[in-house]
Amino acid sequence: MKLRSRVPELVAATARETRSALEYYRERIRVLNPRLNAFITPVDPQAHPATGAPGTRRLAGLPIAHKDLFVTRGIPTTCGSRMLAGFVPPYDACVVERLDLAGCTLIGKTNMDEFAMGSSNETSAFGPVRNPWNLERVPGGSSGGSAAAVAAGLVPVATGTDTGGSIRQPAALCGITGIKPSYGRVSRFGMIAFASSMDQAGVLARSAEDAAWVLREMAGHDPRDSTSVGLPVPDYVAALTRGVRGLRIGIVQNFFDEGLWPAVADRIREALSVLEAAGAQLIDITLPHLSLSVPVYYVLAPAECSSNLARYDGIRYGHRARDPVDLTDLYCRSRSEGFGAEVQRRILIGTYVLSHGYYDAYYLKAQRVRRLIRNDFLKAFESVDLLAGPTTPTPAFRLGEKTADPLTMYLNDIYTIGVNLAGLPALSVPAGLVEGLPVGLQLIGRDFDEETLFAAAADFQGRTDWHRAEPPGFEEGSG
Amino acid sequence: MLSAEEVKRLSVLARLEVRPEDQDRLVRELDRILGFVRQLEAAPTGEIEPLVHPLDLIQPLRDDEVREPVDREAIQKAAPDVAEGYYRVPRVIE
Repeated sequence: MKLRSRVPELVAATARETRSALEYYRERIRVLNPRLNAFITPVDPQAHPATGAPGTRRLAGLPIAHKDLFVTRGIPTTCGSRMLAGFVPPYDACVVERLDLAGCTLIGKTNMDEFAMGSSNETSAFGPVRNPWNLERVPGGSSGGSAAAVAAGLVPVATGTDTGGSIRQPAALCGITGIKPSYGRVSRFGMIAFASSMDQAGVLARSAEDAAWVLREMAGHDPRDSTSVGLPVPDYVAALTRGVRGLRIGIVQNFFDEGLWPAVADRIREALSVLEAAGAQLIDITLPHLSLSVPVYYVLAPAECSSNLARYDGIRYGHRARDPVDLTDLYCRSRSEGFGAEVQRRILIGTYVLSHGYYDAYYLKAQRVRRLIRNDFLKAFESVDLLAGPTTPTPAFRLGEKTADPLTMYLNDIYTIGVNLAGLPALSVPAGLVEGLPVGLQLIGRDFDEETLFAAAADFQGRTDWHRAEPPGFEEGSG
Repeated sequence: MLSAEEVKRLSVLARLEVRPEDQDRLVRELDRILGFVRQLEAAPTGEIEPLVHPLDLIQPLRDDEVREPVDREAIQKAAPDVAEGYYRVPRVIE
């Protein structure tokens, strides 16, 4: 049992000596998590026993953490909100169920931005997560707890969700690999909804190989989510050895605009030259409407959120205000006490853009631009197999640095949001350090072509060591 | 420019209670965000079809039959206030 064991090695080790991996990681969580606050609820393995149903068992004994947005039967699920403090769901999310069947053992629920609305994990009602590379820096968000836990070696793999970059951005800022599959690839059943036309579940792991092992078990149609597609799930593990030779990779020129730190641009160009040396052909691509991604997203995501979060009424579950004078008072005070400032801002923006007189100008207009953005991607994929660029414009910023101005925080997702609007799969892989902090290379694929992403990422990781870099203070034997 | 009255109206629609001490800050923040998204006005969209959803999926329908029994007791364990299998709320009808 070694800290940096690969997923297949961990599964093999568990077959030889039961519980070793689990005990190893539980001890690391106990000792190291207080520095990071990556977990909202550590889980005793007995608290969530496997159903006993026959499954693939291809991940037998693998410890896993779930973002606290996936509902877990009998285990508190908060979505990072006071609204759901103490909520114990009566059922499992599809992702949780499938990973149970594959043999994973749930080791904890990870911290996150409240209702997945945030890019720094600072909107969590359970306090911010710290970046293991520098404890004064944010881990990114909203899957910041999952990213920090994997980066620090508190768990080998974790689930996350990505509505506007919430897997890729924290993966980049914490120096790990994170994949957001195509919209519709993984069932959203049991994922607490934020923006339903963009929300998608994925994996945070130390390598493309580890992520492929986990996504293979999560993906596939689920009759309980009518947006999960009926396509067969390819063998992502088999795709890892395909290589990048002969692939045409489009370098998204818009990503190299003035907002990108020059040192980050240097790491990305170095990474691209590694892919070129491996036999990929690099082609410059411009996506004309991509610059409108952030404004489109901040109309559509709040609109969908205001509608999804209408369900929190203080009656059926969740926080309820004390001594309401009437039903309206019960609704209003329960919601205002239960939701944090960022969630309330987004609900109000969503209410505005959907309200009478503004619907056409904001909501319909944004949906039209959304199609222009998707069309740009589809056109690009006529001449390339993958698109590439940085995942974020800068490395991890300081805690508190961007909390004063919501708009500054929103712009942090400038390179990731377009992918969600278009529904495409994308991943982030570590591409080096800037001032001692990790930087991520983002690869974007065609609809439902996660295989090419895994192939390119695995080839890159076979030629570089960035994904093996360890944050100081969290190496083997620390604590 | 967004007005305080408009934010008040939005909060009523959204069933949120805005505390008086938060109001000025909220008006400023929302106005700035709306000002930012207003750049979409200039986008040349013409009559291009709005994209509601990234996949042009047809809503699949299934037979309307009972699949999972509803375990009322298990579900209501999460409720703040229940009585005799019902959710209890303040008096609605006088």
